[in-house]
This record gives sequence, structure tokens and C-alpha cells, in this order.
Amino acid sequence: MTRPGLCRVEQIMGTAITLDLADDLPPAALHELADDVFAWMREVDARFSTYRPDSEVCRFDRGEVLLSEASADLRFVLEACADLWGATDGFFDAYATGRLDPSGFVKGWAAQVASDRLLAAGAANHCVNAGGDVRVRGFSPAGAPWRVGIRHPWDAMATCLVLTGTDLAVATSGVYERGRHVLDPRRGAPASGLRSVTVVGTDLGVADAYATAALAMGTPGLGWLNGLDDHTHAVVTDDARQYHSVGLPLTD
Amino acid sequence: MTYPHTHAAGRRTGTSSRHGGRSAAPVPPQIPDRRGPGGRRLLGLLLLVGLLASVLPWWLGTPAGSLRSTAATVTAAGRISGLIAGYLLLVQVLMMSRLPVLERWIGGEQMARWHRDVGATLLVAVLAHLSLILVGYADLRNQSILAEVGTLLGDYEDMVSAFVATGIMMLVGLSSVRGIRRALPYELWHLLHLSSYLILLLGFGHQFTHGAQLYKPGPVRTGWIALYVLVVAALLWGRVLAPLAFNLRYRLRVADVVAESPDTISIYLTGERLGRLTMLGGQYFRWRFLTRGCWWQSHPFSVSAAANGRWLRLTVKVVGTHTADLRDLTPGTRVWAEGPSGTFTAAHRVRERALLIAGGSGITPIRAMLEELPPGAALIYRARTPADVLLSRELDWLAQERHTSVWYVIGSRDDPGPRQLMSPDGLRQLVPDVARRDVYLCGPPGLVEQSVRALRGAGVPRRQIHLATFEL
Amino acid sequence: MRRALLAITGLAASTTALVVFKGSPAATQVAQNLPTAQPVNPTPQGVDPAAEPPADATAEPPAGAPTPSVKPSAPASAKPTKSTARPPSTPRTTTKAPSAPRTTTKAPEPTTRRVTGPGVDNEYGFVQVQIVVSGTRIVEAVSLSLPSGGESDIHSDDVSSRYDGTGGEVVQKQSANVNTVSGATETSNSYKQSLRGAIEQAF
Repeated sequence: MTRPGLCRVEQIMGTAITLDLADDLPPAALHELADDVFAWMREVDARFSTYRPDSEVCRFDRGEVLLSEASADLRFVLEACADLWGATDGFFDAYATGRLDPSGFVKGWAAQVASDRLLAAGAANHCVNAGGDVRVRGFSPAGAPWRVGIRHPWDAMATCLVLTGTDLAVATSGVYERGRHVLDPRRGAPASGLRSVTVVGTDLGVADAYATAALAMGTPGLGWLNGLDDHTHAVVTDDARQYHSVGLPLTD
Repeated sequence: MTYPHTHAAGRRTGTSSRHGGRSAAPVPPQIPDRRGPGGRRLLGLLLLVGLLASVLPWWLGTPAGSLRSTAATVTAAGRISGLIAGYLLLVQVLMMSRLPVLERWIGGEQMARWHRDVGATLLVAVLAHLSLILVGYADLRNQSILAEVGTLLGDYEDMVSAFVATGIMMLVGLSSVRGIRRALPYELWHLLHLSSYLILLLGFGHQFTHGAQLYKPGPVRTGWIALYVLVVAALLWGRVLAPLAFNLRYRLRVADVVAESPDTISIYLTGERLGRLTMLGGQYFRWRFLTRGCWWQSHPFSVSAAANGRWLRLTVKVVGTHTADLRDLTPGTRVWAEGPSGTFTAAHRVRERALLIAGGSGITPIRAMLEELPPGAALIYRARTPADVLLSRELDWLAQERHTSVWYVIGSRDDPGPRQLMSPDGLRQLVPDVARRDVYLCGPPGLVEQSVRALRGAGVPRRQIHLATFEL
Repeated sequence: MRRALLAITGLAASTTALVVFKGSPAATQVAQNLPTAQPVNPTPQGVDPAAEPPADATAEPPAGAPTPSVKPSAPASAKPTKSTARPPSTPRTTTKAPSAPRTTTKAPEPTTRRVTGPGVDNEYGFVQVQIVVSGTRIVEAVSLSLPSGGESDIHSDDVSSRYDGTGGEVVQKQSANVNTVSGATETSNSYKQSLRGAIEQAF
């Protein structure tokens, strides 16, 4: 069973980054594209990882790097985080833990940039999945629009919804994901009400931040998501009810 | 029938007492009705039901087949033991609340025994809970147990206080081991034991922040909080409000201090409305004499005469500094009393005839009980020397009036007389129907043990043997 | 102290009994079934339609086998077909014996092979997928090793039975025919990784 393109998975940023290239390009080109994508991801990790004391973001947080000296990427991310802080009424907060931690935006943004670069390089059919944040473009190897499942909040092996499209940024934030401390035997998220929030748009970084913010808002987050322009959403509450926008690109 | 009160009874050293040692009431006290064990059994049943109810939320909330790994199983066992421990802690505190209804149904002595057993079980439950949760969580997170302790202490609210509570509990448990307890001065031991309230306070938070069955608002959480409220209310009632009401009503004060023997004194107390004071012979109060040097200690002593509406009397053997201080009490000193407590009474008899065995100063409650037992009782009074026999004149008088047979058995344990008597055959010879009598025992531990053995050997069923102990 | 010892022993025994009772019957069944039991499942492929409905054989195992303990009541109300998927797992074992001889007589049939994908480690544990291939068709994919200690274990207390409900309840779809999963983090990716590895090995 051969399929066009290439699929590669690597563990970066403490999560699995999956790249699925569906263009029928020669293997060498595919490998080069894949190498570029993963090299970019590693660059993002080195710059933005809060677990590496020597990363630029940590050094900036400690004051060892001034804003004027910071790299373009860091300045972009900081500015984006500030805008998102305003847009989410403070629920997306890069300083929520006390230290600078833009990872609620960075993961999605990195995948978005990777996807943009692939598109620019001529690979118009691809799927980038960075630890659950998904950017799809074009068609799957089978020739149909990409099918993106949303993880079932209680069963890691199942999905609860399936989306389909040729240009989607899908970001899901769930209480089953809480940074590194995923296995929290405690009760769960600080705010109660929402178990899992999925935001669909065209910019994965923004969608990622919106999903994180809505989750932190708890039940009122549903109303906030409802008022968002240009984004659709799907939400599962703590009492196992599911809500989604009318325009969500669902399929069976 | 009036009693001549020309002789003040029991005085050997010549100090006079206006009150006399005999009951000054115009009629003999009524023989109290028998009280069955129903109350105790009902309470035991209630406590068991409570235990089941506290584990029920776990049972209902865990779907069958959901414990799919060792870690999950261990954690589940940890949760169950946590629920059990939480419940037992509440029971433990409730037992020490001195609620009048508990004192009536169970009595201080029995409660002290239950308290010790529940305490040991509680400690084991808490340690099991701690270990199982640590092991389970550490396994789930794939880290060492030590690292898990760090995570719990650092990232989880209320866990530092929970650990401190456990430490205190272990200390309290350790200090209650008989050998260690004897080595500690009583005041220190008592102070340490008081810190058990801290255990309740410090352990409270983590149950509701992290308890899988308790963190969600709902009937279980509300029920558990209600239990806490009930227990605290019981504490408040039993230890503060009820004693306050009692003392404000009766306003007891020292009337006279009389020497019964070189090392024993009787303290007579008067007050107001003593006619309404209900107590039974054989019961005790916890007395706090509000004078310098004595006010901060509370000690249990039995009353040595049945209620007569005019005065209360306690007869105390001087053994330590506190009891020595009692000798110097001046009349008029206010007394704070908590009670009456105890089930060592005529109301708890099972049969219609009784045998009483007293040793040394253990005669006190027995002397009080004699006034209320049905006629035909028998009393064996063990004393080392004739000088150790207390209240002999009262006993002689009671023997006459209440048709009680009194035997004074003088000598040490190994003397032939006492040794022959304190055996199954000896007892049966003295009291042929001993197996059909209630036997009340009060005296030094050695005598009590020896007597129990002899009685059991003579065929006396356990439920007919009543012991008075003041361990707590 | 004797009474205390009695009480302690009694409580310890009851606690053990409680956890054992709530322990998973399905897990042990899964553990027994998967490595050895499945090979003969290709029989529903068309040779033995009487055994089980084919839909169960191909679609259920990935979701059915690991999940029976997680969704005790939901499937009962939401998807009646799923709830019947579990009992067949016992009949499957019993039909093994009689079916075994069938494999030997299946020489003229396309050969079935079981291929095990590479094991993938993640935070939760070890994930490994096994596929059963008949000719060039993947007949089914099975999780051999389930991550233990995943949130499903921890949240088993939270799951309780709030899963039922009318309208708007969370439903469960098969994950086998999506290209990717959002919100998956480790587990599903590992699953697909191992699945992919198995596929690449098979062909």
C-alpha cells in the first residue's frame, strides 16, 4: 500500500510533532522539506523552551536580554501575546505562572509558520500536527480533504468529532493537557466547567491562544467563544455535554 | 426511718464534720431501675452504619472494572483508607466530647477502652492511607516516592498541614503506648493528647481540596461537612456548654475536709438545688478545685455517698502533689465539676444480687453504690493493713441496714487468707451463688486482674463483671 | 488491643475486597485475548459470517477492547450496538477452539499474518499496535499494550455515570479513519506511529 508523500514524527518541545506531506514529490525533495520543518521546530524549541535555562525566553525573563536586543521571533511572539492578552480579557496570559511562558501561543504559531513555509515552497498539501495543534492544507494522500478528529475528552483512544477541510487551523486545549503535569491526580483545571475546547480558524497560534483562554474561563468561556469573529469552536463540558458553532466544518 | 447522726462516721483523727458520713436523707435512696445494654448496642450499630456510609461514595463513584492498573488499584485503596481514617477521627473526637448522652449510654470507662482501640485503628488507617496514596501517585507519575512527597508538599494545597497532622497523630499514638505513657509525667502526656484537636483542624483542609469523593459540591461533601459540624457541636456542648450549665446551676463549693485515715481525706461539697442533682452511686465527676495550684488540673474521683440532696462527698487517697494539695482546701472554695459519668452503678446490674470487691481506696464508689443496690449484697473489702480500711463504720452501718454481708480481708496478696479467698473455690465457698451475681470490682490493677481470673474460674459470665477504671 | 487488631485486620480485608471487586475484569480479559486470541478473527471475513457481525470484528477492537471500563453506561444509552460488542469478546474466546482447526484448513485462503508495530514510549507508558493482515487488506488493528496510568485511570472517579444524557452528549467515533487528531498529545500519536510502523512493515 503505497501512498504519495511522506509522514514523519519527531519528539520536539516535549511533544510529538507529526508532519504529513501529501504532495507527490520526489523523495529527496520530500525529505528536504521535512528536514526544514523539523529544524524550524527545533529552533523554536531552543528559543522558547521554558525548560531550558539558556533559551532566549528564559534569558529575557531574567533580564539578561533586553527587548531591543531580542530576536525578531521573540519580539513577534511577545507582541502577539500582548495582543492576545487584550483580546481574551486577560485569560490568555503569558505571565500566568509568574514567569514568562508563551507556550500557549508558541506551539501553534510554530506549526503555522511551518505550514506557511511549506506552502511557499510548493508543498500545498500537508498536515502539521504539533502536539495536538493541527494545520492542514490541501488534500490528504488519499485525495480527499483532510479529516481531523478531535480527541475524546475522557478516552484517549477515541475521537468525539471529525472535522474536514482544505485550509484549517485546529487547536484543542483540554484539561487532560496541563503542561508537563498532565497526570494530575487532582480534580482538574482551575476553572471548572469546560473539559475540552477546540477553536478552528486560519492562524494556528491565535487559535491555540483562544482555546487556552476559553478553557481557563470555564463555563463563561462558551459565551466568549460564541462572540468570536472568523473562528468556529467545539466545546465539551465537565458534565459531558458537547456544544459547537453552527459553521464548524463537521463531517461523519 | 431516720438515721442518728451523732457520730460523724469514719473520722480517725478527731476533726469534726457537721455533715456526718451517713446519708442525711429522711428515706433511703430508691433502688434505680435496671438499664439494659440497649443504648450501647444501638450506638455501636450507628457507628458501624456510619463507617459503611463513609465508604459508600467511593463504591458508588467507582465504575466496576475501572481499576486497570496496579497504580490505580493502590490509589483506590488509598482513597478508601482515607475515608475510613477521616471517619474514625470524627468518631474518636466524638467519644471524647463528654456528651452527657454518651456518658449515660456508654460511660467513661468503657469509652476510654473504645477510645484506645479506635485510636490504634485510626493511626493504622492514616498510615495506610498515606503510604498507599504516595505509592499510587508516584507510580502514576513515574517518579520516586520521595519525589512524590516533594510534589505533594510543593504543588498541592493543604498538604503541608496534612503531613503535620499525621506527624502529630504519630506522636500522640506513640505517647499512648502504655510503657511510654507511664514514663511521661501526666501533665505532659495530657497536653500532648490535647494537640489531637490540632489533628482535626490541620487534616480538615486536604480532605476537601483533594479527596476524590469530597471535592465536588454535592450531597457527599455536604454530608461530610455536616458530620464535622456535628462533632464540633458535640465537643462544644459536652466540654463547654453542658459543664457550664451544670456548674452555674449547682454552684458547688467545698464545705469541709475530713481525714479518714492518715493518707485519705473526704471532701464534702455543698451547693444549691442539690436535691435536683441526679447521679447514681458509683459514678464519678471530674473535679476542678478553683484555688491556686489546683485550678488548672481536672481529676476524676468517685463520689463516696449516694445523692442525698444535702451534700456531695468524695474520698481521695493522697498519692501525689495534687491530692496532697486537696488536703489544704479551705471551705468555700469553688469547685467546677463535670459529670456525672460512669456505668459502674446499680442501674447497670444484670442480676438482682451483687458481690462487691473493693481494694484499698476502691471502696469509694462501692460505698456509694451500696446505698442503692437491692438488699442481700455481699462486700469483700481487701486491705493490706487494718489502717487501710476506710469508712468502716459506715460500712458496718450499711451492712446492718441494707442486709449486706461485709468481709474485711486484711493482708497482702500472698498471705494465706487472701490467697485462698481470691480463687474460684474460695469465692464460691464464701458466696455460693457467685455465678448468679453481678460482681463490681474496684481497686488496684493487681487485685482486679486476680479477681477477674478467680471469678471467671468460678463461672461468672463476663457481662456480670463490672469494672471501674479511670485510665483516661 | 485485641479488639483493635481485629478491627484493623477487618478493615484491611474489606478494603482489599473492595478494590479487587472494582478491579477490571475486562483488563485481564484483554490481556489474555489480544496476543493469542485474535489471529483467528479473520474468520468473520466472509468464511464464517455466523460467528460475529463483521462490523464488530474490524471496527470494534481498537476502541472496544481498552475502553469497556471507561464508559460503563454511555454506550448503553447512546450506542446499543457497542454494548453488544463487549459480550462477544467472551464468545470469541470460546469460539477459538473450534475455529483453530479452521486455520489449518484455510490453506487455499489468502494467508493472514499478524504484524506488530514498533513499540513507542510516551509519558503514559508503552504503546504498541498489532495489525492483522489478510492478503493486502488490513483486517484489524489492535492495541497490544495500553498506556497504564493515563488520565482515564485517574479520572475514573470523575467519570462516574454522568455520561448519559439526552441530546448533546459526547459521542464516540472511530479514530481509525481520520488523518490526524487534535488534542491528542502523546497517546494517539504513539498509536498512529506504531500503527504506521506496522503498516510499513507489512507491505
